[in-house]
Amino acid sequence: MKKKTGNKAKIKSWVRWHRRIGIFFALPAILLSITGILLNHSGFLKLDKTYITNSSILAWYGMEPSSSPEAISIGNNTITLIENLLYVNEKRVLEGAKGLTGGGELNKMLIVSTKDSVLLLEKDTNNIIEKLGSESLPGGDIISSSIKDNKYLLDTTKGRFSASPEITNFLTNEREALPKANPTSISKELLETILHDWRGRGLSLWRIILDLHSGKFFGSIGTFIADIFAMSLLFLVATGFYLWRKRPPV
Amino acid sequence: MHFILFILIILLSPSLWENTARAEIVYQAPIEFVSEAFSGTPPETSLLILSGERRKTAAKILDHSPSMIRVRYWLKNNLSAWVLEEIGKSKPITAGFIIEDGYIKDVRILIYRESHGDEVRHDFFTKQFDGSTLDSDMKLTKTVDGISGATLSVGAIKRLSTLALYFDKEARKE
Repeated sequence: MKKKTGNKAKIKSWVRWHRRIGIFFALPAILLSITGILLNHSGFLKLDKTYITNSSILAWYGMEPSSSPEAISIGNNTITLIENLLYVNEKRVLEGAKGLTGGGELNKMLIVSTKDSVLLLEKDTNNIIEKLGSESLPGGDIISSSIKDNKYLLDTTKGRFSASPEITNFLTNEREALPKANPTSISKELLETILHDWRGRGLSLWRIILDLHSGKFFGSIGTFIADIFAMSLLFLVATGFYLWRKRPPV
Repeated sequence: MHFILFILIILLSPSLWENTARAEIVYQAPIEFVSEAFSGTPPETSLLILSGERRKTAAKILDHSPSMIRVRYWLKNNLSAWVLEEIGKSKPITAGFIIEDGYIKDVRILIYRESHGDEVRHDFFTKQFDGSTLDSDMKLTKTVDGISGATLSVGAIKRLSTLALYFDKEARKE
């Protein structure tokens, strides 16, 4: 009789905790389910291609470049590099760029070189004609590049080169080393425009929903809380199963 | 009892052992990929201009307009090599493609920049493309299984494979 009473009290205690945790985690469970469904269909909903422009959310994420922007002038254009995004004036032209090294204007082309690539753009529209990576360059890290006598010249750690008129091939060129590209200042207006684009580009709706799902939206404590939610759901499953097994016969 | 359970939940929390995000990873330098494709003696570079109908078809395959006006490739006899880029989630993935007689011979992930989804670099994924060609609807003839958690990267590699096959077809017309 005593044992039966003890068991009853134990079951009552589990029921109490099952209810408490169930009610407490009902809202987070709804949030997890909705964000999970959205993430499952992120491709169809184009979540990864929708960028956040809301300044409060961007500020919450602390979206500031980790290093100061670099800039050089080519003709009338200001070429700016913010982290790994390259801009010609206010237009973003390349992702994954590393260190500005030079460039120039050749016929109808605007040429910009970074440490590991050369970007050919249409002078009028700034549309990309081609990006030359290591497979198309003569080798080594690019130190400097410039236009001289209507030829595109390139200095790398492997030597000095000149390009064919259409920039298809590079030949060794015995000449003096090119001067390094001179940094230029960026106007306040241009910097504001670029920073706005940089911040927006860095944060997609997909990322926000993923962070809400994982709890990262609320910082490291959020992840920790999300883990506790998940563990609590496991607790509910386990106690639910236990209580179902211990249910009184009908 | 409940206190012990609470402590267990905290200790089991994966956030206590989580890793930080990764930066760009170069699995193979593109120049090495091209050299290897032609057993160390790659042919001269050729250019494919993306304009008119060709640009429209490329846009249809990619589901967006191509970012470049011309594409570089290497062609020798029945073999062509392509180094192409496409954004998976938010950063470009650089991949190499070798096409032989209009069929994919090899797909390789050269540079991966995203923080997640780099499982696409493994052979179990890339080997699925081998022997694939284009059907009349510009689709790959072989089914490619996705990878859970790398959906966007898988989509990007599928699009690039289709594009490489289409470009190979166009290059042979020149």
